[in-house]
Amino acid sequence: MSGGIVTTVLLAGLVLVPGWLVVTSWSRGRFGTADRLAAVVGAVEAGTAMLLFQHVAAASVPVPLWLWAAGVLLLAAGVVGIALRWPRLPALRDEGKRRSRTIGAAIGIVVSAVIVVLVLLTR
Amino acid sequence: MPLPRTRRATIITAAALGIVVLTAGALVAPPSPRLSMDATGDPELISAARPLLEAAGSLNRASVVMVDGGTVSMAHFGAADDAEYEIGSITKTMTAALLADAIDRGEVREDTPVGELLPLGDAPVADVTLGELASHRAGLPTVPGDIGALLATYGFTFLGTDPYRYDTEDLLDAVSAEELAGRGTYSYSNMGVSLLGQALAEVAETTYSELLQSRVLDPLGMTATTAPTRVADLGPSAPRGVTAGGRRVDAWTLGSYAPSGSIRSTPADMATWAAALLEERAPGMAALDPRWPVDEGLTIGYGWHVSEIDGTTITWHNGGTGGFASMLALDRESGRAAIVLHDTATSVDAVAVQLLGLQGGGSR
Repeated sequence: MSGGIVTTVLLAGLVLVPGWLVVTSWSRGRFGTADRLAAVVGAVEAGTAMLLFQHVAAASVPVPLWLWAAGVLLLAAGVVGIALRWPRLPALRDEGKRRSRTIGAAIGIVVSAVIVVLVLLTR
Repeated sequence: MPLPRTRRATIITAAALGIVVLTAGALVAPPSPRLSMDATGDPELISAARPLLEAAGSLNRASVVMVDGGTVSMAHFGAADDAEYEIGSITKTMTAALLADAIDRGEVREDTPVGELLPLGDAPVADVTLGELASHRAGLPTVPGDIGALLATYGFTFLGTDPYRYDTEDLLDAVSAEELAGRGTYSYSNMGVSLLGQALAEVAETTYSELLQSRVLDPLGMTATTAPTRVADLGPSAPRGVTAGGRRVDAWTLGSYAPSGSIRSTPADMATWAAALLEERAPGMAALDPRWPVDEGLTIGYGWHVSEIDGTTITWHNGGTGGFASMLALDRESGRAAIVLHDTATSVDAVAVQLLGLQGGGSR
């Protein structure tokens, strides 16, 4: 895959990833987020992915400010959607699933934190 | 009917979180630097260069030097005559000068196998000649194809680090492992020119940096030009450039790959280099002679590319590191040269060619 295609995918990801968060956070249907843990992890990972995509793309091309702004607006809309649904979102009832998912989410959040720190330190 | 208290609290929380996300997004927005408006130097050259640099997507600082029949004019955007730039692969023109100079001194020949000068054993590369290395016809890739090189590339992409962190032993191991695909045909290779530089240093029983200093820089009085090989060689205020996307990246010192691109120079010193080349008083002038055809309208000498552009013969080399781009174009027939130095990794090849009054910007 050429560098140009990778860069295009990264730039598209700046709006597609938070766009998907908007779908999952506002939808009550089959695409809607199922529980609080999934909602939080989805939001954290979307934000991290955007920062990472922007950082990597900027190694070779200018990242259009309008594209970043659109992504941030979508991310904000997704987070607002999660917050509004929060009181009605169930916690995972299955104890076993909850434990394994919590461990998975914790790892995901730690990895996200490491990525965010690296990106911010090397801007 | 007023909202229930819990619902109101949820809405306020949601709005607050939305504002937090928007604020954070604004704080970490991608960098969007612009070409410096602080222009100094020759007014005519400033007027001519600014639109060309802007059209090339130039950011931050840039310097343009024109040499015309012994007259030097400069234009700087956020820089000065003594501003330091990484010149990247323009370094190869000085490594090529070292080869031609060493031939003049009788130390080596164009057809000297590199295996006679460096401990390469019976590896295929040992048979490659210095002329092949200087003209990118040795069949070597530009960088090693191993996992270390891949990780170094990722290191640059994610962290902005210098991907060329090899010592001489690493370089010799890497070239010894190569099978030489397409030997005899042009294939641009940092690895090949680096090997050439190390071989010439070995013959002179010194380091590449010291060889360059004693045979090219000192004789021409290029006092502000250096060839670092380690970060420790850099001055405390050595500038770092930015990527085409505006991200600040580390300086490239290239280790054993220094002969292919580690030189840091200034507009004033590059004007000296160009003037010496045009006046044919630089060491190793034979390096500029076109020797091997590459494709239609392009010939390669020792390091130097020679192109026909709009009916004019241009002898040139460009340069690019993680955070800098540069171009040196000579019109030897009319005694003119254009040099563009830029602290952003966005190509300025076309700017130099257009400053010479030509429209073609094709280069490699």
